[in-house]
Amino acid sequence: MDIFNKPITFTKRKSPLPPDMRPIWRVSIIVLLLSLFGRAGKASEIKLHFLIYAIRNKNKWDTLKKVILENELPFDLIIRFDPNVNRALIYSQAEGLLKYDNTKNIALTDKGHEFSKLILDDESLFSDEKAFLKNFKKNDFTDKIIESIMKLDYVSR
Amino acid sequence: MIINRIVIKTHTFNGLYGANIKLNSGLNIIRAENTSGKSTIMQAILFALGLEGTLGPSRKLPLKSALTKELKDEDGNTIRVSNTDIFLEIEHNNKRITVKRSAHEDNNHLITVWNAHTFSDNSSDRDSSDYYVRLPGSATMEKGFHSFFADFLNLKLPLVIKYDGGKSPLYLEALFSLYNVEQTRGWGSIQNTLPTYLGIKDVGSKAIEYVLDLDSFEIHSKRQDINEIIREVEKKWGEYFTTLTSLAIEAGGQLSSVPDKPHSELDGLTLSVIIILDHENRQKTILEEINTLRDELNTLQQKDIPTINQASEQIQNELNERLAEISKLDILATTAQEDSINISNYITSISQRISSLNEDRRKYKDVKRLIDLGSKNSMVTQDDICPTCHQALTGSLIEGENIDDIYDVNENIQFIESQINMFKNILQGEKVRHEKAITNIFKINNRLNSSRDYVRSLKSSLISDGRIPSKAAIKKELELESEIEKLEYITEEFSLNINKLEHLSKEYEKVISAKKALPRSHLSALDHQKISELKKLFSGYLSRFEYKSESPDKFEISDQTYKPTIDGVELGFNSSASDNIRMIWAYLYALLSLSQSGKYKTNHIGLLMLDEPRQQEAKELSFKEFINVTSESNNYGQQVIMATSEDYTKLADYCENIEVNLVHFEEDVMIIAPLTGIN
Repeated sequence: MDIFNKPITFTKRKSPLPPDMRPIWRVSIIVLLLSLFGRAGKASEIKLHFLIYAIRNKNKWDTLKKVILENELPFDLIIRFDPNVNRALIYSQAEGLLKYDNTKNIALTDKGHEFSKLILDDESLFSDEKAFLKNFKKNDFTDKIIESIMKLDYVSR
Repeated sequence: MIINRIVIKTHTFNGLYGANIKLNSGLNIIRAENTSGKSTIMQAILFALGLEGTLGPSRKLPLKSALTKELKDEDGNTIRVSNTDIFLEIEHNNKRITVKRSAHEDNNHLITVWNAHTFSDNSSDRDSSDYYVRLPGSATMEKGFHSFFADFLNLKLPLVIKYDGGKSPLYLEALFSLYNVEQTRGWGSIQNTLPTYLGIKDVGSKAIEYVLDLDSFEIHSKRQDINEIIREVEKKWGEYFTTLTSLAIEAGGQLSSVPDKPHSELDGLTLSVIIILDHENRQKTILEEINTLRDELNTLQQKDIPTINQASEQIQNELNERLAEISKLDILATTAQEDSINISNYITSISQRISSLNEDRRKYKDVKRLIDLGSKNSMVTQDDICPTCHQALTGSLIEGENIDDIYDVNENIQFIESQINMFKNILQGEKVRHEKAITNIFKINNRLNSSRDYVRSLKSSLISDGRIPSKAAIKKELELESEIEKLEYITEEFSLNINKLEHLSKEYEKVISAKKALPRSHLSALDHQKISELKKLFSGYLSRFEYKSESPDKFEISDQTYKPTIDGVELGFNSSASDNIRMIWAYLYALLSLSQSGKYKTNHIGLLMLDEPRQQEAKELSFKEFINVTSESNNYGQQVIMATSEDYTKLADYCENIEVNLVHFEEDVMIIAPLTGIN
């Protein structure tokens, strides 16, 4: 057998990428979440992390509903600080869609608001996400509530 | 029967009124004006005898109001009536009685009878008996007046058939259609007033038959009875036949040579009449079949049934084979089960993969749209350009990824879709495999179950008593025994019923010969003679009464209706009114006089009551002749009572030199007048 003398070639194939790793997806979802659940488009970073984490995975949606709406213990909701979210935030900031204000909150800019409008108006966009988010009000994601969830504690309002 | 006296006692608030008329045997003529209550006497006689039913179905008393409500005295005054009692002195065969009936509405169902003529004979015998009348049973019960009266007249009222199929006595009311002719309706034809309301079949001809004492009455009666018996026999025969048929069917065979209708020669019917087809389709009698089965049973009982001991080695071998098979099957079953679970799990994971791929595709569609929007929003991120330094971005948020290494959006979508397709196909295949696995498990389990069952029965055979015979052989014996028992029972029942049938056939034979013995014509020889004599008398009288419409010789007496006919037709229309009346005179008197010669016996009571026989039609001459003829009844102890308003002078003239009791009420004299000298 002469396989060792023959040249071995490698062909680089491209790899697929999960969609929510596409920058534009995260940027857009950030803008959407800020407009829906920020107070006048403003929210803390923690809140944002939390919301993005929650929205990314459909499997977690039921649990979130139960925790927020039915006051179940949030055992399953273990929130990680996702570095990809940070990078997305940088892009968003670079695009001029949002900015950090003094209190370390993130706020939508006018450009950001416009973009959010475009997203909201397009019914086909984020249709499942939008339907899911309709279950919640801004009050459901106060800092206090998010804090108790992080502590794996009952949601305290 | 002779009515010797009629006494009417009408109690009024002005004293006792009424009439007291002596009558004789032979001809009696009561002559009175129409207005003076002439018909009262005739009605009173009928009433006293409880025979108002002969006039019609009405329950009203046939008495004039003069006897019941108020009467007019000779001065024309109206006098109120409280009650009327009517007495009749009657004689028959030297027996004398007096009957009394009250017209009072509370009392008129009562007739009192004395055993003597209480007015004529001054007898001290005041013993009386009470009878009821015009109530059910008065002709049949001992205390009924008509029952008593028929007895008195030596009449035995026969039973006749009604239209509704029932039977009833031939009531006196029916017979009186020949003894009494009522003024208003009686002269339309012979027997113009018949009590048809009694529902008696052919009541008119039955009455004449009886009065003439024709044998045909008996013959008719007998024929009716015979027919009834025949009907009964036919019915019973049918029942027995049905029973026999059922028994034959139960035995698994059929009847042969048993007639389904009554038959007179039925001797010697045996059990050969049930034919059974055995399993080789041969014909057998039931006894032969029983014998065959008996033989089979005997053979079976003598042979030994194979015991388990004899079969045990074979059973052991079979058992070992089966147990080995079961082991193999057990392993197969377990493997099949694992297979199935694995496939199931795989299917689940593939389904999840597909689901997540779908989600990715959805999100990518959003990404595509977002790229569009981003451009519209003057953004560059979506084009994988850094918004700050405008250098190419990797296109991924994941650190270290090179843009060349990643599919672009469209490629990625394509990739996802091909992944989805691939997994869908795999899923399809896995589902089919899964179904096969399930079926396989099912099959193996079934085989396991049946093998286990068989092993159980083999084991139980091995451990039970070796002397026990096999089930199948026992069953066969029991079946044979039961079949034999059944056939024997059927044989017994069959014999019983065949016996009954044989008896019935003898009965049938008897009744058929009785029927044959009946005279063909319902009239006996004697009957023919009587009728012929009746015809002679009738024609004779017709001539004497100067009947003109037809020649009297042309008349025949119908042997169906016993009434006069010409060419089989009863006349009524063709004769003139007066000739009609003559016909009635002639016929009724011919009936009365038939027994006068002594040659023929009849049941006629010897009484004829005619109210206004002259009517307004007959010529005077023939009335005279009628009086002449009827007066002859005196010579034979018979009685004719006529009530007429004929002119007295003429009447007196007709009655000259004739034996007649002429009771004359002068003009303006009421028949119902103040009574004197009555106790």
